[in-house]
Amino acid sequence: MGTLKKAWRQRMLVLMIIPVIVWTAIFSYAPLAGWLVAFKEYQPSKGFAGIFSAPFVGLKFFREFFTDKQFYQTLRNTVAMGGLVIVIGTFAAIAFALLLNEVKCQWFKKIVQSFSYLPRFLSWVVVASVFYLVLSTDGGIVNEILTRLKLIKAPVAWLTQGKSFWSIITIADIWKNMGWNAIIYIAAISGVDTALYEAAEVDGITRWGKIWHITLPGIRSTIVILFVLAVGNLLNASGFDQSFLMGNPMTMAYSDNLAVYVYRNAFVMGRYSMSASISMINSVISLLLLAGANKLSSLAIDEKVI
Amino acid sequence: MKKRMLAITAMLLALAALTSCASSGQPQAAASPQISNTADSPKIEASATPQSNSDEPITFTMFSDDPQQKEYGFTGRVARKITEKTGVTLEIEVLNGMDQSQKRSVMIAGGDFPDLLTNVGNDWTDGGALIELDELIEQYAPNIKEKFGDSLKKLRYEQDGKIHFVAGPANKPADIIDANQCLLIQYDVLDKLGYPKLETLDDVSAALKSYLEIVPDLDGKSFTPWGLWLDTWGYNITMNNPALWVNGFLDDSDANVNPETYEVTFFNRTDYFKKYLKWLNVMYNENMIDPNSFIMKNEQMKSLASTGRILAMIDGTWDIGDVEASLRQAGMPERCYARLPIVIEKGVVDRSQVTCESYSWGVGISPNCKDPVRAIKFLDWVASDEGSIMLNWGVEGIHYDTVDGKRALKPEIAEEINKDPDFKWREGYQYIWNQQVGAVKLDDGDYAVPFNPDSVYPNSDDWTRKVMDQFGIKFWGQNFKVDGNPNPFGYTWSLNIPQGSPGQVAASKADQIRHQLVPTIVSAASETEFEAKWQEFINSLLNDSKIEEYEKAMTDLIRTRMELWK
Amino acid sequence: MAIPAITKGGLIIKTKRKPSEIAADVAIYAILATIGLLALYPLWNVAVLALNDPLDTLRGGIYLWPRMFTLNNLSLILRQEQLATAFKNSVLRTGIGVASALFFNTMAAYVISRKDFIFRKAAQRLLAVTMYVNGGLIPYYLVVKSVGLRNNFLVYILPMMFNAFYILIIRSFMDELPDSLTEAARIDGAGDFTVYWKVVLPLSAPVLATIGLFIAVDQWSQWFDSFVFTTDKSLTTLQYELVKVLNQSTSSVSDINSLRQRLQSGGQINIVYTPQSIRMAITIISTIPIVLVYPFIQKYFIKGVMIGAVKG
Repeated sequence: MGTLKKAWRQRMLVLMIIPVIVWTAIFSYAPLAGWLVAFKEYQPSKGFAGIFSAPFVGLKFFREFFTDKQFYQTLRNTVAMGGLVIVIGTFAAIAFALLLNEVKCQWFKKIVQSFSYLPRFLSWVVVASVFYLVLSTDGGIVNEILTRLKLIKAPVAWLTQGKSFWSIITIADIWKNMGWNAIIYIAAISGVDTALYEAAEVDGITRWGKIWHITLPGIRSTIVILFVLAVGNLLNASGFDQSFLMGNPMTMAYSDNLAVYVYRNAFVMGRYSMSASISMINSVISLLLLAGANKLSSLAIDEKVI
Repeated sequence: MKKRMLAITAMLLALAALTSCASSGQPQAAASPQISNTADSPKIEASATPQSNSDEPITFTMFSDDPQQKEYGFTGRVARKITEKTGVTLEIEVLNGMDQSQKRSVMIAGGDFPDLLTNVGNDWTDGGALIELDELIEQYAPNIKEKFGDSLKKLRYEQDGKIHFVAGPANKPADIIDANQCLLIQYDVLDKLGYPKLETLDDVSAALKSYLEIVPDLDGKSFTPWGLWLDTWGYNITMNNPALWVNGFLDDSDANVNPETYEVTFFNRTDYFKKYLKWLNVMYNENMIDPNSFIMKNEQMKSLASTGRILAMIDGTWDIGDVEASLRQAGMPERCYARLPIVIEKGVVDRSQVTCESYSWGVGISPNCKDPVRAIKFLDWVASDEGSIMLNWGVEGIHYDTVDGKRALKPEIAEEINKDPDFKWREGYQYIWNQQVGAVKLDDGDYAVPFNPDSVYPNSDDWTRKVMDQFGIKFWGQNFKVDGNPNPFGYTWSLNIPQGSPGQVAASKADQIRHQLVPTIVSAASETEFEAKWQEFINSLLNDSKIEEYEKAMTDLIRTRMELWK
Repeated sequence: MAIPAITKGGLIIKTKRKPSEIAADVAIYAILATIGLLALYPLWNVAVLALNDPLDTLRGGIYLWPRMFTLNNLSLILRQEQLATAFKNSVLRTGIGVASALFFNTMAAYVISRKDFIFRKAAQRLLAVTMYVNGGLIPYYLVVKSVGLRNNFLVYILPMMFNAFYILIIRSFMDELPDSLTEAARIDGAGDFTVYWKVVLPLSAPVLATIGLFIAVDQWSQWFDSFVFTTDKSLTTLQYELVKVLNQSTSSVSDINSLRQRLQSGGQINIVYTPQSIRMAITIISTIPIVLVYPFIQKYFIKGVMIGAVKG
């Protein structure tokens, strides 16, 4: 009874939250019924009714990919690439936002910021061909510069080497997304009370001091929430497009991530149930990661995200 | 506070109202037969359908599973003529977006099919999208029966022995203007060497080597003597298929079929393929193949070729169309390519341009179509000579004239077609459904399509003419034999292995494996390494991908097909 | 060394610049300029290629300026029959989408930012989970269809109305707002919705601008919903039309069977336009509107809001 009474007192708030609840019920949770097919031998060609008529196979698909050694290799790649992208990407975006903040000249600041987000709008197809050109052994810039600086003796075919793949993909992701990801930090920085800076200046604070003691703490909650949510998204952070387009059979052992694995082993083969089961595992792991990161943040900085 | 609450409640109600308004606004057609998702596709009880009035205007919706087609309203001059003759207006929807299989699964899951579907195959039949046409054809489609004749049984689906779609008949020999896929070698190479006779692959490598002694590079940039690009389907076109052509096979794709027992072996594990890889391996070790080829994408190959640096390769002639146009535009016509047949050793007969008769795609009728009899009658008209001529040539008097019994496109129309790629779509006649296509002769003795090899030679540039003169031909197709020993079971790739079955899974896995391992075979540095890598490849195919499942599935399908085609 | 100076804001103490500071400034400007150029160049190159003859582009080697200028690539796209309708639909969906999504998302964010809300934890968790679960395309399609959104303009608005990620971000911004402001309003008798509407919302301008931008870009770039959920040509969107144009060139094929099918159905090989050039033209056409609108939004979060001014 106590809850109902409290709810009535807060009825305006309850009313305001109802739309989102209804919406998530329809568009996010209802489709999860589709996970049922992870336990069945489902053929999409049999349509909707097929979900119910398909034979029950239990954990067959789960067993299949858990015993596939390629799956573990893929998982390793996914975690590595995702981790690099999240950590270095966050760091780069924040650093960029901070650097921008140091600029007093407004027009310079605006122009650089306006250029910085542009790569986000290039499709990965375009980005992949840019990287092919730049890293090519046939006149590509990187090889040219490195040979001239005498750092390498002959042009290196970077894109055929599995070991370089993780670095290449991280650089590509940062180049593409840093500017756009920085926007939120820039907005957060703009919300920091300028009076704090003024007061600190009186005490003779340095530029670095301002950043460390005022700006960063001021945007701490933004940083934390974005990071925690990103950690939950670790398995998807290294997207399908970039791995598929920039990878090739010679780098497959390093470039194939979970999304590509699903594409190759489920999608191309028309095994809908397989992709449903991997999607399920993906979600479960992501939620565990999220819960973990959430707990850590509450322990480390005494602030829980959710 | 109360006012606010009322406002919000009102907003929420409005939202709810909007949503329900939307659903009630749905036309009743949405209540289509709740998908009878059984393996048998719905039969049509001919007795239940009313006698359809042949010339009353009717509109069919049609979906084309081909993203290259274009959607225009059915108002062009040809389109209007079609409506005039048959009473049918079509609302065409084309697949527009990245993924055919996603759209297909979504359409099947929801049962949202339009009346007609074109460019679809038997994977749609599995999803219940295409009804059986046997009886409809038998009763209402005399033209289709006549044009196909005995070949009608080749339209049957191996899984249920019934016909689910009609296509343009391929039972008459067709002439070719240009080869489909063959050896492409630069004019300049042939010219500088005095037009040597090139019969075998070894002749080609010798020729390339001699050429490089005369012309070592192009303005300081090195040549890539033998071109390859292996990204996605590039493997099929530049690695798998060349091995087929040089060994005298047709486009068997991945299936090597024993002609007596119909037993299938995965082509990439046969010795035929190994022989071709050996030749490539030798070329690789002589620096005639660019290591980048193994990761090259189509765009990058085209870029390289457009700068004139790929001397020779085996690829599709359609793949280098824009390359050659670019070369000519840049003033390098001598770097365009001659089309030649080539075999791996003397004695093998080239069959690369021989065509087989089998049907994998066509136009079908969906269970949502309310007047399938009318639909089949329309398709029957399309298959007739009258319909085919209209869909290939246009309207007589507007698009073409008949002079002394031979049809000729009007020159201004021909110019429009060349200049504007959308012209035929707008007029309403670029669509391919089930009309007779290809350079075949119709009953009136003239070609079904504006086939005009006579216009090739006069319209070619000087270099092309020079090279053609050396071969004594007026169009490239003349270098090849078009008839001769087609497969009795048609093209193996027209056989549909059901999605998700062990055979299909095996084939997909094998595709991944060969992308990974074949480059290591080609780039092997020594004889022993070559053998070792080859063995590794074979083992991987057998153990990791269980390729024998694929072989078994294909063998069964071919045997079933031969039964159906008796 | 502190130097007093009089500026617009009153008496300010300024520190004289040490050489190390100037050096740091120079370094910062240099780094930022490099980043700016590295980010700009590829799009510049795309624009150059979009304005270059397709066959000439094939040969490569074009960096800063078109070698063979042509407007053909752009005109091919602008000639599409449905383009005007598509553009109208895209503008409509972006406008309505942003307005509705901002309204509903911020409302939800406000509710969960209230630490005293009894269902706070539950609501947050419910929302967060949605970001990591996905039932697959077919169930989603069936759900959307059953709600009646197939071939309906609202399919562009409703499914994108809420986004847990944005809600959580907005919430974290709202958490930063000093309680004193909302307390003051409550003392004056304002109810929950009034506090939200009159106090919290105006103060959240930077985050609204940012999230509004994100939503706008999401809406503008969407084509998949047009592809899957609509067959009615009057509902097409700009991005979808562009994807159509790209697909009509041969080489955007992913496997050998699709290639065969295309060739068999008599596909003409377009040698006047290459997929590469079309892709460039498409990128330019879809990016230009964003680039044009962006500066107007930028000012909301780049200059900074003087919270001090609001305090009064």
